[in-house]
Amino acid sequence: MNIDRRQFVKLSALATASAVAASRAGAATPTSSAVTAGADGIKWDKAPCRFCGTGCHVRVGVKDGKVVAIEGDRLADVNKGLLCVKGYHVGLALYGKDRLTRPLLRRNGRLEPISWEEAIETIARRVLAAPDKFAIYGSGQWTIPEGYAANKLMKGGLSNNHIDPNARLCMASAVTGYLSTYGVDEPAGCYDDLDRCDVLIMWGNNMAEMHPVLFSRVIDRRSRGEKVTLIDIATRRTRTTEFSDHYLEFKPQSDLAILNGIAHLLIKNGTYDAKFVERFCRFRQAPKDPTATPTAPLVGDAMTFDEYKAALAPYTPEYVEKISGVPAEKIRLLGDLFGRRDLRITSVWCMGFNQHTRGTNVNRLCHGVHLLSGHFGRPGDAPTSLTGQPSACGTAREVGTLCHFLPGGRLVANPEHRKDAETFWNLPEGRINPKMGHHTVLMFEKFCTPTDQGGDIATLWVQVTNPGQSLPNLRKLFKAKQGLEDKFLIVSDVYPTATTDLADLVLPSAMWVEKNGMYGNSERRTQQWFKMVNPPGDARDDCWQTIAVARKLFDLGHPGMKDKDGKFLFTIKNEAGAEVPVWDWQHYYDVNVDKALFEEYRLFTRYKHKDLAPYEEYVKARGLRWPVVQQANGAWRETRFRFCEFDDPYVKNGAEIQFYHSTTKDDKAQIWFAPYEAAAEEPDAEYPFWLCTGRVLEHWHTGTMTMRIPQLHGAMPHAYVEMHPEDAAERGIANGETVAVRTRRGELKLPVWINGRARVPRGSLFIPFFDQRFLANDLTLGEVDPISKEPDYKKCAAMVVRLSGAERFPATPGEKTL
Amino acid sequence: MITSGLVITLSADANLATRAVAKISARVEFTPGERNGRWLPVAMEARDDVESRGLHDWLTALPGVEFVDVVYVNFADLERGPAEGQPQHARPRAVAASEVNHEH
Repeated sequence: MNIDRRQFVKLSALATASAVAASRAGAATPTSSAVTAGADGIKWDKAPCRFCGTGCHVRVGVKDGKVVAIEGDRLADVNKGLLCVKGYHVGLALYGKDRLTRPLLRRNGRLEPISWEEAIETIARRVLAAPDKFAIYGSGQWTIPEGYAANKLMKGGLSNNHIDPNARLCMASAVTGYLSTYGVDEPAGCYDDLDRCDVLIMWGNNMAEMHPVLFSRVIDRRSRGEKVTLIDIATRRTRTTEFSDHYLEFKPQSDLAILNGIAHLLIKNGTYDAKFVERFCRFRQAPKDPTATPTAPLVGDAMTFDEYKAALAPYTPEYVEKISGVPAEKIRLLGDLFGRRDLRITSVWCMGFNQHTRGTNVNRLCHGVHLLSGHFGRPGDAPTSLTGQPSACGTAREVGTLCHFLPGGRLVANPEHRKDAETFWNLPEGRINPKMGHHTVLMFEKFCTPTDQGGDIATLWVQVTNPGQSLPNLRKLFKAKQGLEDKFLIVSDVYPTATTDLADLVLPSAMWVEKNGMYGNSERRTQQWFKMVNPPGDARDDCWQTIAVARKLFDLGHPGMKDKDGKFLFTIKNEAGAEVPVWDWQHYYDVNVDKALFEEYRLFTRYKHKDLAPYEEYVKARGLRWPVVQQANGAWRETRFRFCEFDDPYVKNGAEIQFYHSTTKDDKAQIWFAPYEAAAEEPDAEYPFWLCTGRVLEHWHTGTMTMRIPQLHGAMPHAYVEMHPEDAAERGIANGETVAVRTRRGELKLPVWINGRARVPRGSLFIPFFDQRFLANDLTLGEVDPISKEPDYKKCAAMVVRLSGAERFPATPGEKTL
Repeated sequence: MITSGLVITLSADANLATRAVAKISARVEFTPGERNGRWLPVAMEARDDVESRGLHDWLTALPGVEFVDVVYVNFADLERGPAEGQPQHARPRAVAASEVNHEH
């Protein structure tokens, strides 16, 4: 490197760091960025990070057609210039050596290159042969326009609701929790609560490693001398525990009992907020007949306060201690904190609550404790779920790519909602199928079942996710596809994965800043970015792939590809009003397809008061939190605190708090009672351990991107099983030794890590799922929450077997040992 | 060459923090900026990703350092290209017990 240029780069790095340090010390947020656009030949632009649901903004430096630098965006409210270890390496995720660059079709067992024309025609003919046996599986990694296009193709074009996202595996229980409590999905509060709370409770949420930038936001407050009490309620000690004032270790599944224990104390001590409850809440329990109507499980049956009180009566601190293992005085501590009006309490959770066979109930109970105690509706007083994928909220939930949703919070089962969608899409009446499609677990079960045995999904198109690694009970739900000759798996992705291993057709996709995009993060913030570099080889946008298949179906005569005026479903015009043939890749970027699709999607967002601003407003901003409502002066204003008169424009004057989508139609939220119930599978004499799976700081989801980034791979090179030292000693197992972990679903051989970064209690194991070489989900349970249909990845019964010498192997030859 | 901009959160213990700043300043790979309360901005230069990781680990283990946040990375001159592909498909080969490394 030239010395002058080297010095320049160093000074740029130092200038950025100095500005962030000043900001963290309390200086005002800058109004412009430190690095001048165009300096040193690097062109900078904004984008949200590609990884988790926090929604940090990065500035992306591009030179000579490649991403060459990343910095945290100091103009972004979410991260204020900070990034986690994954975020500052996000640019390198584009440049793994084995990027997929050509469409590949499996012939005689081998994937062979084919043209895009042949690939698109192959898909279209499979769909045309059996449109009702076709399914799409996507994720919260879909951009908003991508998810919207796939949803429109399926529900508006093919009259087929077999579309579901990976969000079913991670956020579905949060959705049902919000819907059944407030009548509308997604958090009322936002990250600003983290800046205002006096107490932060992390429920089964290792925030320090899974959402480190948000955690830093809280820790910074302490560093500035503010008092914030951190409470870690978890099943294993993690980095979060090290920073916490209280650590409450509970037995798996017993979070239900702990929450009931808090509610019990609030009532027993008379410290619940009677005025708040009287004005704003009702009580609810599971319906006697959950099949009475499609929404019965979410609406439930009414119960009186006295019935609620009686249902909670058994949950004394001592009884909760017996179930949970958490000392009774710690339950009282929680009860006392929630009973205080002078404190502001924020609860956060993620997969610990959601991936739970009673995930909906545990979400409901957490909301219920906040409502019962009145810890709701003031900045810092909020129950807030966090997400794991960058657009789990923006795409999977808001666009409605779940199998029972239409965009904007509508349901396929509701005739009025179908009519709305048919109007917005200009479709003939009755085009949209009223029957709910297959949810994720059922979709893969049907795909992996022979057709003559009821397997009614024949062709499955996977976009932007890796179910071959992330589904539970992989042998049943994914690997069973092998050998089923009449099943056809299409996978659009950027790298070879466990899913492409079984694919019949592989499509190379553009990723992140190789295309235009929009995401929606955990706090209702919609974000936008522009394409900055070209994808490698012949890789193309997922959205283009969807539109190209739709157009091929149109050309082949599928009637669903036309609206009621006979026009193509994805007719996109330029500023002059002329139709642009965007299905032809050569013309895809002649017009901003993202903008066209987003403006169409915006029409759907008013119904549930999730109003989005015009596309151009997001170009100017580092995201805006919906509802974004236009003011008298023409400006667009975001909403930080929903349902609160002081901030939410949809709350009536004088109402103070108004739950305007209440399931009881009276502007009230629902406080649910749900009992503690045992896990679907618990340890026994044969399988004596609890097995929990999850993530690590360095790797995102199934590791397909982060394992290709040398810095991240080097920091965490392979999976492992965490084990308590006494459990290991009893079995003669040494740290680093390879063992076999077995469940009733399968076996996995991997090295043991004792007293490592995290510490499991006796009788528990933890395995991260990022490593394709050690598929944690060969072991996990496929049982789902009966309401959300989300599987439980956090609990099943396992055994550990010490291997004989001949069976041992190091984790990866040449890599560092643990 | 990888050049990073770091923000180091120093310990509330003034002595520990001062010693940490002195140790960081003594290494040629780091160029500290002006300390702002408990936050120290630093530019870090490393030959490659291995050295970068090593320096990062050294910093996080240093007494007096509570957190290390990276806010800027320039990898334009990374010699072997931005990233190595990570072959995920090769499962570790089986070896005899005597070959297993038990060092931790």
